[in-house]
Amino acid sequence: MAGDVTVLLGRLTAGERGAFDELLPLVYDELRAIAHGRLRGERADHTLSTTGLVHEAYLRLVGIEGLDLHDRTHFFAICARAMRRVLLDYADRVNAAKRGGGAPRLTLTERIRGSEPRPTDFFALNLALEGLERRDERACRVVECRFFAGLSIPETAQALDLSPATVKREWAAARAWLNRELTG
Amino acid sequence: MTVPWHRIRDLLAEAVEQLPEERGRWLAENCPDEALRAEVASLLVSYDDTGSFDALLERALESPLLDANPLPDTIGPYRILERIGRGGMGDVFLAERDDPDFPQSVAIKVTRPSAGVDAEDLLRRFLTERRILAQLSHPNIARLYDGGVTDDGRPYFVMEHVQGEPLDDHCDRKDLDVRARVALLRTVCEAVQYAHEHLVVHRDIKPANILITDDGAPKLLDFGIAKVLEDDGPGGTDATRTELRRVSLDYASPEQLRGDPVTPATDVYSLGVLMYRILTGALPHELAGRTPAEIDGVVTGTPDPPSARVSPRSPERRRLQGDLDTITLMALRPDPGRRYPTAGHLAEDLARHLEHRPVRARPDSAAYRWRRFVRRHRVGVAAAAVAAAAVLSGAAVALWQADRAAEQARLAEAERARAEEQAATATAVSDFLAGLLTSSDPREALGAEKTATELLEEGRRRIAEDGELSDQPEIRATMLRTLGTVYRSRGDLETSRDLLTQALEIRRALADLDPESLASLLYALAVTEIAAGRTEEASSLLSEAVELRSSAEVRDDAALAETLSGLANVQMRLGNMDSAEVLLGQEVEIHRAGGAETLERLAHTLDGLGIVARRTGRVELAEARYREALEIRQRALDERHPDLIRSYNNLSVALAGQRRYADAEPYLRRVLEAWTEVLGHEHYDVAVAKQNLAAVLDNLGQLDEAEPLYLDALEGKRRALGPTHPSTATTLGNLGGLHEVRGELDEAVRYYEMGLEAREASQGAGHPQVADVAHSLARTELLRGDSARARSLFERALAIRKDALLPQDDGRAATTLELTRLLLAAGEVVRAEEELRAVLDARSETDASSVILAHLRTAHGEALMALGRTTEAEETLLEARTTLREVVDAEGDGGEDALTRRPGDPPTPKELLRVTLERLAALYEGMGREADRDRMAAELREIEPGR
Repeated sequence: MAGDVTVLLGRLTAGERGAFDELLPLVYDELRAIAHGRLRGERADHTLSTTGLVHEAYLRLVGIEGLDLHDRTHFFAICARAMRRVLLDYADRVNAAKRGGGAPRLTLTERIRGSEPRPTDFFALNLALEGLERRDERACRVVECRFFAGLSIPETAQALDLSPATVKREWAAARAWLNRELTG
Repeated sequence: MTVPWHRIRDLLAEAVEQLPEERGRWLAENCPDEALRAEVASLLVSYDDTGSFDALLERALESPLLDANPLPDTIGPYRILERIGRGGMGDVFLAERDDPDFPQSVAIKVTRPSAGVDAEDLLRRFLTERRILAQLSHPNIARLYDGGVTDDGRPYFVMEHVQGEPLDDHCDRKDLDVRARVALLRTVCEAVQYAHEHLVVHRDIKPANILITDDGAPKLLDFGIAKVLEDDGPGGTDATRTELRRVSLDYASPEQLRGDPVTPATDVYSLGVLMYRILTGALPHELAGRTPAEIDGVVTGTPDPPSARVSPRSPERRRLQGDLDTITLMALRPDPGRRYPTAGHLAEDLARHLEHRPVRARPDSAAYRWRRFVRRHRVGVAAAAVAAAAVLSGAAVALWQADRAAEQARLAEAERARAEEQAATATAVSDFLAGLLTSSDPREALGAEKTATELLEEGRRRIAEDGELSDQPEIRATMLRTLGTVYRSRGDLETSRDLLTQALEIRRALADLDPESLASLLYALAVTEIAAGRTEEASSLLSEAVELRSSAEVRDDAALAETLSGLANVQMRLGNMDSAEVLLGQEVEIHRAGGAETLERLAHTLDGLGIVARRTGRVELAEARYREALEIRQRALDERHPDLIRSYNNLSVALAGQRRYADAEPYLRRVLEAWTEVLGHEHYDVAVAKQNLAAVLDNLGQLDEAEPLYLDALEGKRRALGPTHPSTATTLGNLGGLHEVRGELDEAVRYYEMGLEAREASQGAGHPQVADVAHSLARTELLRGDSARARSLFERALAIRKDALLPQDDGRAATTLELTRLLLAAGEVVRAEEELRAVLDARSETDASSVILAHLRTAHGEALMALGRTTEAEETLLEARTTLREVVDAEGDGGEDALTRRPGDPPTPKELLRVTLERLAALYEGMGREADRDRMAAELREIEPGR
């Protein structure tokens, strides 16, 4: 498997766009499997973080010997996108479970009301990201790298083949924009 | 047309490079395109305010994974059955516990961890709160049973499991009419009032927290939980943010939104929103999608009356017009001082409405500008309260562990009282300043731009300096007092004293009419004096207040008890243990007469009496008092209640003080077990409990069990207090002693050296406790055979003791004895004689018969013999012999069990007597007085027949 990923990354770097479409599901499946195992398994790992999952996926798909910096950051950019989908997938599933399963037993806690701060909800965040993506795709990619893979600004710049200064600007503007969408 | 993203992005990047106050002008100059400018200006606001965004984002990101989490098997001692709810605060589980004394099923709310809040902090706050929450026993309030922190650091609350549906759903589903809804709301208000009487403010009242059970009765959930979870930062934005995140925005009061102090009136506001929602189906203010700044503007306005929110032709409209409009709007007033002061007043008005009696509420006609003053002013009060608390806790000196715990409990109580006083003060300031300033000169408007400090200062100047209100002394005194307490809480103690003293002059003139107001003012001034460190002044003020309150025509026992308690604390601080004891004795009498109501106060006062007894050396009396307090608490409190645990600790320390170590041991084991269960292994109090148990085992000779406990305690203290804290040093010293007893001298030296270093670093090289450790270390070095190092350490210890302590201190005597032994061995007889004489001269007056004195005399006699001053030597040795004979004849070997003696311990009276007799025999031998020599030899044979 590690070989597959390395080869695909190589093809991607060489400019082959098809490689991306092959890589994404591979990474997605792996992230899902890791998250699932953690959730089912030991409670000690209660504090699941997306960054942690992404790094574990890297170790499992690529291996400890690793990739060169360029390929590695590319890999993480793909992970970020896959991670977003994994989370959306979970949010959907949890939502479905809440809707189904017979009559609600009892509402001991507050229900979601119009003015509950919307970003407590992953859907709201995802919706805002979709809005940003429509405004500017590159800004959305920057946010994904930062949010879902925990990449730093220089790492994000590497991953997306941008200058750090550009990433910094995109990041500042995108954050302000999302903040306004979510809390404003 | 949409503005291209890259232009927004680049312009924003440049704009944020400008100074914040210049960005507006910069944008106007550099961006001619109006649409772009508007977009960037709007993003700049969001750019600056990303603090709460980060927290929200974190939760949004983790929420799908957290939601998908499986059920935990257990939380604390509870077995989880299923998840029954989920909300902004966290998850709620149905759980049970294998305990016949415990309700079969309970609800457990596990809160989400929040950044920046320490789990231990939370737990501490929870334990403080729990004492109060546990007392809430009302048919319409869900009980809180227990709580703690999960293994992964999330606080949880164990509550009565209530089945029912939320208030709003219930009203809508049953299609209740206005009257039935008002009746339900009244019951809710009464339950909230009950909590207010027990000093609990809910802070998060909303329909989802009020369930209607199958029998139609409302049940309020989550009382006090919001408070436990709230950050207790000094007001400001952090607290606001937390409140906003924790409580439901729609039902939050303006003061909560601003992060200002919360009072019962806060719940009144939420009840007002609740009424509005239940009576009209709408919320008074539409807050969804607004920015914090906009929300602040909206909630400080007056909403439409409820009747205006229902259909004009509906029958509800007529029912709401009049009373219910007025009642609801009064509860919803933005200024807490102008609402119903408590939920009880609101309930009362609802009852009047239901019974067709005239209601008390009147439409709001207040001057708007004073609201603004009060609002600004309160922020100042909140920030200053923290400073005042710091001053007070800084002044408390912890002498003993048990005393420390008791004092902390006292401080916590004082703080609670102060918080209440502040809430009352805020209301009073609002009323009085509004009244005063509007009545004096309506044309002179104070601009809303003035700061709270300026307004306060202006009020002070007009009343204190310009003599305003001189014709109304009563009101003037009340104003001066109010301002005085406000200045105190702002930390300006000089001004506070000045204002309160002025008020005092007026009150004294009115004393015949109103002695209670004078007493209460004396108390207020005393609090300022205590904060300023002027304990003597506080003492005389409180004495006067006690006198007034004792002789009042209608005696208010609670007020008198409070004053007695205050004065007793001051007397303890002044070292006047006798007066403190008398005062506490009077307080005890009051509480004993109060029956079940005042049992908790009674136990508290008995603790105080126990402290006094212990500090005055009457350990058995202390034991009796601690024991009575313990018995009261055993009957009233849960087994793991912090007050009960502290009570066990107090008693065990009193027992240890009597060397009844075996009696103390089981209590200390309970303390350790309970603290560990309640606080977890890592808590400082657990380390102290280990230390105490280890010390008792150490004294019982159970060194093998004591050692690991000492080591645990050491680790805990190092973690909690740092490596050089005096408390850490105590454990190091104890470990040194333990190894010394075992004869593991190298280890002993190692620990003593660490202890010495720690004390020097934290207490300074001249501290008496540094001398204690240096003395122990020297003694061990002597045992190891390094008499040169021993001597220099003894010299150091003695120098400290000469500087720091009274000459009759036993520590100085002990060090002098050790050092002179070395001096005599080295032939430095003159100095040895001088040192011993100096100590003896200082002591002779005070303790004519003690063993220590005899010991000093024996040593002195030896020095005098070496100097050839035989007459003086004979005299001093004979005095020692007389004292020691008496002790040995009365107590055998001084009551000491030879088995428990340690190598470094001072000689027993019998040993001393033998040495004294031997020296006398030698002295007489040298003087040629053979008859006397033989008499001494005979006495020697008598005490030790084997020789």
